[in-house]
Amino acid sequence: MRRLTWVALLGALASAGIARSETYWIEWNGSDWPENMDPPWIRNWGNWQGQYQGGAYRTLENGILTYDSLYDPGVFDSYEMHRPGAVDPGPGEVFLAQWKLWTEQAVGWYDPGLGFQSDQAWGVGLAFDDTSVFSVYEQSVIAYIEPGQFHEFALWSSDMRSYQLDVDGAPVAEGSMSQGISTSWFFWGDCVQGAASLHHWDFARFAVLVAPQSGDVNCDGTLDFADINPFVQALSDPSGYQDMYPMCWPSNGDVNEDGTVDFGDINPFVAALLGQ
Amino acid sequence: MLSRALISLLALGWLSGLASGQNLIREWTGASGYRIFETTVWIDAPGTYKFQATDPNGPNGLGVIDHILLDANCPEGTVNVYVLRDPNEGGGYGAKGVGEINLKKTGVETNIMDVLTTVNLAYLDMIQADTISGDIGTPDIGNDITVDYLGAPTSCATICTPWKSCTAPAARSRPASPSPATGAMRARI
Repeated sequence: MRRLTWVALLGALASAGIARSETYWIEWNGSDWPENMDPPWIRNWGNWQGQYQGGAYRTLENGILTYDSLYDPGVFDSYEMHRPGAVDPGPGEVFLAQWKLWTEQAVGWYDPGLGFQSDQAWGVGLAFDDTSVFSVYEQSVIAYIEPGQFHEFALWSSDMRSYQLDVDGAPVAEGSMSQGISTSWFFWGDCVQGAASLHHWDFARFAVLVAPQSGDVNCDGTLDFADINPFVQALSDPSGYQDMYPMCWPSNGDVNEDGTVDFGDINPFVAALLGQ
Repeated sequence: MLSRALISLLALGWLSGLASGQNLIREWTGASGYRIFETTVWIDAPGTYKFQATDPNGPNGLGVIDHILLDANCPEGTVNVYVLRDPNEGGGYGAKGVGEINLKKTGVETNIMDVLTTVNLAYLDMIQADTISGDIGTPDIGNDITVDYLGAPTSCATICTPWKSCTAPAARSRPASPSPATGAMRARI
């Protein structure tokens, strides 16, 4: 199923030109409090009584940010970043949000949450409990998840109108963005007033990337001789390759589309490189 | 003459440039029974709710409420909604804009009371409730306002704009008769 998704995406973008290659421009990776990152995330917190009152109990240990707001459902405590004019993907690019989250307990409703709004004010808002993901603006549960553990989520879109949600590497839902009023920003954390939760974040990041392209293993937007050495490294030293090209789509090296990057991809890679 | 769509778009664009994450929605009477996710409010239970949206970067320090919605699981009863600034903070206009109010649900009597916004109202979707009983004050209305009963001295003329036509309300009976000044009516404004 995932392969079909990528193939569909590639097909949709086949006629589009490659605009640019960017690394993640928004990331929290657990190395410090989000407000201490460069650029800093803005902490937006408060409770029923207003901003900068209350807030969740927060700890940062071993790269994991834990929120505990179970003592007060009126608490909100989230992070946000504004990127005016820089959210939407151009031709040949894909918007990607990735985050790793464990919602250990949620009381009252879905909490925590994550979302963004595009440069044209189209957005997605997701809220979580221990067993499901709720699309706030679509008013529906869009996926169920296994409780009691971290899950890695990915949401991506090439047009900022529709999106796909993946959980632990598998596509679980497709949705439509809703129009709001705010533009060009991202948020995540204990987002909901009226619900309380105990939850843990490993990372959260938002990116515009060059769209996946078979064989483009250095992710510069083209398949050419500059991909040879990265391709060899992807085969011989996968972890080193990932360290070298963390922004690259893993599927780019799977040229024969069998689900893995291995020696079976060599001949198709060479053929694609030579334009055969 | 600018079309209504273009004017709405311009208003939306102006608003969107100002909206930010410092936007804070707050219910200032101390009521419980609602939830807020960023710029969306859900009402979960009958009661009276008075919301405001503030933003230190917004004009007059006001922010936006994109949606005020009645949760599908709200029990039977009466819901009254205001958008006003907390009197302890000076009172008056409660938000820069309110994008949508949808309070329609069988078994819940919903009443929009005073909704005062400095820029616009209904810029995302319609305003829907059983009754409007208060003052709707805004320079711009983007979408229809649909209520079963217009039960306050809120006249069509005051909330219509030059590019928005008004349709004559159709008479409709109601067990409890509203004030003679406004009559029982179904208003689609």
